[in-house]
Amino acid sequence: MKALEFVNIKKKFGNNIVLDNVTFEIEKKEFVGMIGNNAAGKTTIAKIASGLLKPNDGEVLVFNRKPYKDFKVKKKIGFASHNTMLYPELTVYENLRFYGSLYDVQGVDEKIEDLLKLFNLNDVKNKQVKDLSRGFKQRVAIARALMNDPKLLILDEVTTGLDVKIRQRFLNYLFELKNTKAILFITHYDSEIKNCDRIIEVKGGRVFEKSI
Amino acid sequence: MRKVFEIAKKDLKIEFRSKGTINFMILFSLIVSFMFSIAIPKNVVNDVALPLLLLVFIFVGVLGYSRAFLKEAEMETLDGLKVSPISPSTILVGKIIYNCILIILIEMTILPIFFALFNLKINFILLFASITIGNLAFVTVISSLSVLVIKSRARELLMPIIAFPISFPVISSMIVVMNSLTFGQLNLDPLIFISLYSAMMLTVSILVFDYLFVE
Repeated sequence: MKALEFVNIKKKFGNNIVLDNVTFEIEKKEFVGMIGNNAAGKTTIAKIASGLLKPNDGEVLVFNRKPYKDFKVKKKIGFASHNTMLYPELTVYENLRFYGSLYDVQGVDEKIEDLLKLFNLNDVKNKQVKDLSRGFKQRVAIARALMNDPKLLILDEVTTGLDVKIRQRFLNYLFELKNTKAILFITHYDSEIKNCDRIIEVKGGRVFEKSI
Repeated sequence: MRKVFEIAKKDLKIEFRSKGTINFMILFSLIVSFMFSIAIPKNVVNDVALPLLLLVFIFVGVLGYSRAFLKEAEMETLDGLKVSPISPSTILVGKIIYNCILIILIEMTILPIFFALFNLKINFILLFASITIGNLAFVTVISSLSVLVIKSRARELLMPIIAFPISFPVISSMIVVMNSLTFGQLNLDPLIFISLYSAMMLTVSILVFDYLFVE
């Protein structure tokens, strides 16, 4: 069973074809980097993989189930993007607690404490998200995606807005996760994906394998 | 069911911190009630007060209930709910419960003021119960419809256009109830009809919501 399978996926918005016959797969413990220019279709791939969008044609499977249809499979997915998906009026802790409750996370308080420590968020845990800088919000968003210890982690340009130190710390942590879960790491920077198992390049709505 | 309450609890927490919807709904109800109380001649107050009260709640509902979904869409947090392992109907029921609590709080604030302004001699408990049943039906209809208008640029205008025809059975039945209350009686038949209509709308919404929710 693959962690993620895209089979001849086609997605269009109005008359604009964003993805055209996209086929690729990610094995259970594979770390795949994805790069591409702006408007190449990377975010649409991430959204389809996470169940946010339904393809117009083709089949998307996450652990053999359709993510846009079968909401239970989303328990195995962690998704973070440049849109933080955080509630501005809730504190950092309340945001993580809320999402933890939706994912039925066991030992949610310990898990939150671990993530706060990992992303250096302890000092701001009781601050409302609206009072945080972009970089802090991004850290909370990544922590949110890791709350449920996902089997498939989809990260879409999440390092945007992080300072150099935290970005490096996060990348180190990410590569520590290598061989423990399937990871689709979407970025603009070649330097961030040099240690991936495989690199996929997205160009004009199509995907190409790229040599490392 | 626990996740339904988590969503409603989260929305209430956000609302009590930002007060973005409840304050506006209460203020709007007060302004309209005051205007009606000044504009309506004393000799016809008893005949028209309750239908006007109904009108206040219809206005407030159409403008306010859809905020539960629209706010999530504006803050881009709806995606966070969509990627979570919860069924779309769980989100819908969570929003309905949140709106129900909101409108009950507004009723508790507005009804005594409305009573005082119009000097009404009607059983308060019966009126409160009747208005609550009618409002719960509006909440169900408008919460379910609001997901349809999320992507529209003219969503605030589109909502009443969609909501009024679908709410028509509730509105016309509520007018019958208000009429009966004016004459000191309570007509239970329309209230039973409204309850059944709400249940039917909720069932239909839950059945089709999964399809509406995925883009």
